[in-house]
This record gives sequence, structure tokens and C-alpha cells, in this order.
Amino acid sequence: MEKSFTQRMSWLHTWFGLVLGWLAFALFLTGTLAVFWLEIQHWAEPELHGAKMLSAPATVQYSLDYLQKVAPDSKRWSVYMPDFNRHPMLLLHWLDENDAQQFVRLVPDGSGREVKTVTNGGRFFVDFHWTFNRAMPDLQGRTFTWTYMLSGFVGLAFLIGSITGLVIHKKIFRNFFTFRRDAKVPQTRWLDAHNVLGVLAWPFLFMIVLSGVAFYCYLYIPSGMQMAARYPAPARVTAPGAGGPGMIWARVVTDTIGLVPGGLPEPGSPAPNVPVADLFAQAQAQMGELSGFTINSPNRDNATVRFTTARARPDVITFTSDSMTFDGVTGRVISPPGNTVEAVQRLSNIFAGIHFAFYGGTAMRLLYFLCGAAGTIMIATGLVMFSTKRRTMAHSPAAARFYEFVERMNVASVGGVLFACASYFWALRLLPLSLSDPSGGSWDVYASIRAVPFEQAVRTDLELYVFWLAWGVATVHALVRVPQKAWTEQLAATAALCVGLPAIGYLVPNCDIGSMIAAGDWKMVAVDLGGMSIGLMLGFAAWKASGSRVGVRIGKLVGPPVLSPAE
Amino acid sequence: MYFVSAFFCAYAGFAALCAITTRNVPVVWTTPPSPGVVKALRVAGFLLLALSWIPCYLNWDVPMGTAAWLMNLSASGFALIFPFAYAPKRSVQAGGVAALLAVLVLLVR
Repeated sequence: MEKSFTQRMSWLHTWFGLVLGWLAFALFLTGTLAVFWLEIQHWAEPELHGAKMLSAPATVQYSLDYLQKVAPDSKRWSVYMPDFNRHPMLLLHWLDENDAQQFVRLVPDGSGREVKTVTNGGRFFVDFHWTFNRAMPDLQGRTFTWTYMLSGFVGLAFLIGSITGLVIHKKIFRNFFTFRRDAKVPQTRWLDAHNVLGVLAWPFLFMIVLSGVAFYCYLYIPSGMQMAARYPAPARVTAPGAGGPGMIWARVVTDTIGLVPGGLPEPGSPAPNVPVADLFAQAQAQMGELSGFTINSPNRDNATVRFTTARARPDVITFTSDSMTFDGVTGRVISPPGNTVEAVQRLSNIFAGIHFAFYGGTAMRLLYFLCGAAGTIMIATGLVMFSTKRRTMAHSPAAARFYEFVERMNVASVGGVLFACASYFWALRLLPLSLSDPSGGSWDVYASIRAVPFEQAVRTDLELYVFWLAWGVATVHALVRVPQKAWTEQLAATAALCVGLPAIGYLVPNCDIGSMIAAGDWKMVAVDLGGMSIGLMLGFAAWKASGSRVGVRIGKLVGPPVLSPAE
Repeated sequence: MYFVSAFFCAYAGFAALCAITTRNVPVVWTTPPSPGVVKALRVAGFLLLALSWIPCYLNWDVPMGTAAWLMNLSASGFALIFPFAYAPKRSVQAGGVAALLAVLVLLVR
């Protein structure tokens, strides 16, 4: 029989939704957490907690004094300014006497304390969100992630799902405010929740997935893929501005600060330089918020100072990049700001700006987080609905087995990734800080999981091991346990981990929520309390799952196969 | 704090529309509302949803404010619909309070 358009769309929605929903849930969850990744990064670095920050001009002066002390004869100094509102870490780079890159990460409180913790922190969620933390060497031995293709495919499928979803939704306006929590048929409840979440958040969901797919669209064509294969620098901390954890991605500044046109000039003869703090104020007045600056040949007669704006700024949606260069001796402007970008790059910048949510401050990010959470829950309800709807309809033992497998996969992909994320937060807090990579770590474009002998694994590796191990354990648990019990247990375990986040802070110096409230470090406190509230909601979900018909064993409900009249 | 006002304003708008949705009329009203009331609430509802753009604009300016307005509509919608399933009358009545709060927050600010 010829199927109607709506039925075809329904088929597409169901099967794309199911197969890619398993991955889409993980992508959406990590993407939602990644909205606050800098706050999570701050949360994961105890040295920064509760520090009394210097003002921006004082930080500039402090950085210069510090560099003057450790490397007065260096050919180049670079200063990456802290993001005082979200992740206040000061990163200083300089070239030593052998022109090798050195760096130090400091707490910008003027005390000279270093941030020794090297952690994936919130950055993990950003990377997982599009690469699943998998990097594979290509034939030339370069790092090439194919997994971003997968996440791009999931993104496209989500766009298809969001459009077909609108087509097949019966009575959007009549059922706009409908959530029948008491409906006798469980499927109706799930359908209502799925519809309400999907329809209300539709503008956000469409916009966020479209911008996510669009701003990297050049990576999905062959020449872009070749570029991507070359992109991550394989060597550690050698390329100017490419090494050193933390601040590079923190402001999404890429490597523009360290790269001065014309390469590294030979230092001239010693000469007094103009105060850089004054130039900083000038540059800031002309270009807006600055992400940092580089001084070539400091303390010499050919000194130049180059100021760079932050790629992602709080006051505009689109990503920007601009810089201006001063003569370090006279203070004269050598090259004024006014960077022009190609049309394609400008478009890509807009999509990136929309997707990364650096603009608009915490209130805007909270809206992103809430709408992202709605999308995450919508995917989960869709997956559950697939099982709820079909479990009584299995027309053959093979179909029954398939539906049971689907139900177990739902637990593994929804409960499992929630459990893995919560475990990862525990790893961030509880793994000893002394396991940090002594070299300071490498912050390539992809923070990917590495296969190294266990005794060589550093803290960043172990954090990722904990995540994947937790997900693996949850998957095995989902495959062997009765689905309803697996749902309850995994949600309850995740809830316990989340609720426990503030408590484990008391086991680690400088992480307890009490003294952080006293010190007024609300970024850190908000992550703790946010985790706790999510834990309470998951606890409620676990409680509901334990008593509801979410996962009645399929085998019991399926009788002998019922043949249709045609058969 | 403007965005708080936007949230309350959009909540009030959704509450007005929710109250006159055919399916919800028996749950919310003891006696069915007259066509005049329905019309007034419909106009007020859409108007409030549109008006919630203004605090977003005041907080963020046009491009960012518009993005925030769209997301704020989603967020305030959730804040109404899920509680509505548990306490329909209260959730709708809260719309009136929300409208007052929206103005109050604007004035205090």
C-alpha cells in the first residue's frame, strides 16, 4: 500500500531518531555541559579557587614584572590575559636563551603562585562534543580525527529529525500546552513530554545544530579534511603560542598572539621601552577587550608590542579577530586595527559565535544551558518512547529480541553517559594533583584519549580513562540487567555522584564549598550547587523509574507471535 | 536584571494563552469564559510574549536580545507547562503575579 507523506516522515523520524539518538544524547549532554566549560575548568583547578584577583591593568604590570625577573634577555614575551569572569588564569610565555618556548600558569592575585594542576577540566566536554575524544593517526602519522564526521552526521540527522518532527506532529497548536502526566497509556506521557520539549525549544534546537554543523562545514569536504589532518601540531609546546594548557582555548584566541608577521627579529641594542600598561589601555580603548599581547625584543631599541583581541567576546555574537602593533620605544602605532576577513570566514565566525555561546554573559549561557538540557531530555524521551510504544507490539520473537536490545541500548546510551559524566567530575576532584603532567601538558586542538602504559599515564589520561571505564561498566550493566532495574540503578548512582559533588570538595584542599562561599568564589560554588540540583532531579527520575512501567521486561509481555491476516 | 523581567513577562503571556486553550478550559475555569474574555486573553497573551522582547533588548541590544528572547520563550514555556500538569489553576493564576513582577523588576531596576 502506498504510504502517505506523513507516514514516510514518521518512518524517517523514528529510525534516524533511534539509531542516531544514542549518539545524539551523548553529544547533547556534553554540549550542554560545555556551555559552562570555563566555569568547570575553574572548578577543576583548586589553585584558582577563592583567589583575590588583581585588576586588568595591575595584571599587565604584574606580568611584565614577572617576565622581567625570569627572562630579561628573552627575544619574545607573550601574555595571555585571564578571563576574570569565568576562568581567571594568567598564562605567560617567553623564549629562553636557546629560543625554546617556556611558559608558566599563574594565579593572577600577585602572589606568584603557580597553577600546577594539569587537567582536561571542562575542555573535555567541548572536545567530546564533536570528536568523541578519539584521535587516530592517518597514513602519514598525523593525527586525524574521523569522529567529527560522525558528529556532523548526527547533527545532520538531528536537523532531519527536527523538520520531520514538525511534519508528523499532529495538532501542534491544539496540544501546545499539553502534558498528560496521568495518561493511562504510558506512551502518551512520553509523547507529550517529547512534543512539549521539542516544540518549545524548536528555535533553539534548530539554531544550535545548524550553527554547529555549518561553522565546520568546510571540514566535510576533502580539502578541508586534508587541512584538518594537518591541523593539530604534533610536537609539544614548540610552535609559538601553540603550547601551554589553558588560556589558548580559554579565550578561543587560536595562535595569533605568538605569531608576529615577519618571524622573530634579531634583538637590537638595549634601550628603555615605553610603559606597556599605557599601550594596553590605548589598545583596549580602540579595540575592546584584549586577550593578550606579545612583545618582540623587549628592552631593546627594536621592541614591538602587538595586542590581540579575544576571538570570542561578551559584547558581540560573532567571533572576531583583530590586532594592533606599537613601536615599543616610541609608543607610535605601527599597524592600526582594522582586520578584514573574507566573506566565508565572516559567515563561519557568526555561526561559531552563535554556537559557542561566549556572548551575552552568564544569563545568556544559562538560557543556552536550559534549552540544551531540554534538547537532551527530549532525545531521551524519544528513545524511551520507541521502546514503550513497541514493547507490546512485537510480532515475532526476533522483533521482541530486537526491542529488548533497543531498550538495553537506551539504558547504556542515556544512563551510561550520565553516569560517565558524573564519574568524570569525581575524577576531576579526587585524582591526586601530583599526577599532573610535569611538562605542563599538551593542549592540542583535540584533547584525545591516548593508549599509554598505565605507569606513564598522567592525570589528564586518567581522567579520560575514568570516563570511558564508567561508560563501559554502565554498558555491561545495561546489557546484563533487567532494563527497568538498570534504569533505576544507573540513574540512582548518577544522582548519588552528583549530589555528592559538594561533599567530596571537603576531601581536597581549597575545594570546600563552605569556605568558597565565604571567599565569594561563586563560579566554583555554582558548579557544585548546579551538580547537586541536577543530582536531585536525577534522583527523582530514578524514583519514578523504579515504580513506573519504564522498563517492564519485554519477554514477559510478548506472547506467541500474532500473525497478520495477510500471512 | 532585565532578563528576569523578560522571563516573568513571557510566563504571563503563556499563562494567558494556556488558560484559553480548548483542552485546558475545563481544568482552569469553573464556568467557561465568555468569547470576549477569550479574545482579550488571546490578545494579551501574544502581546505579552512580544513585549518580553523589550527587556531582552534592554539587557542585550538587538541581535543578542533577539536570541535571548527566543530562548527565554522556551524556558518560560517549560516553567509553565510542567507545573501546569500538577497544579493547573495555580500555574495559570501565577501568570497574573508574573505580569506584575515583570513590571516591578523593570521599575526597581
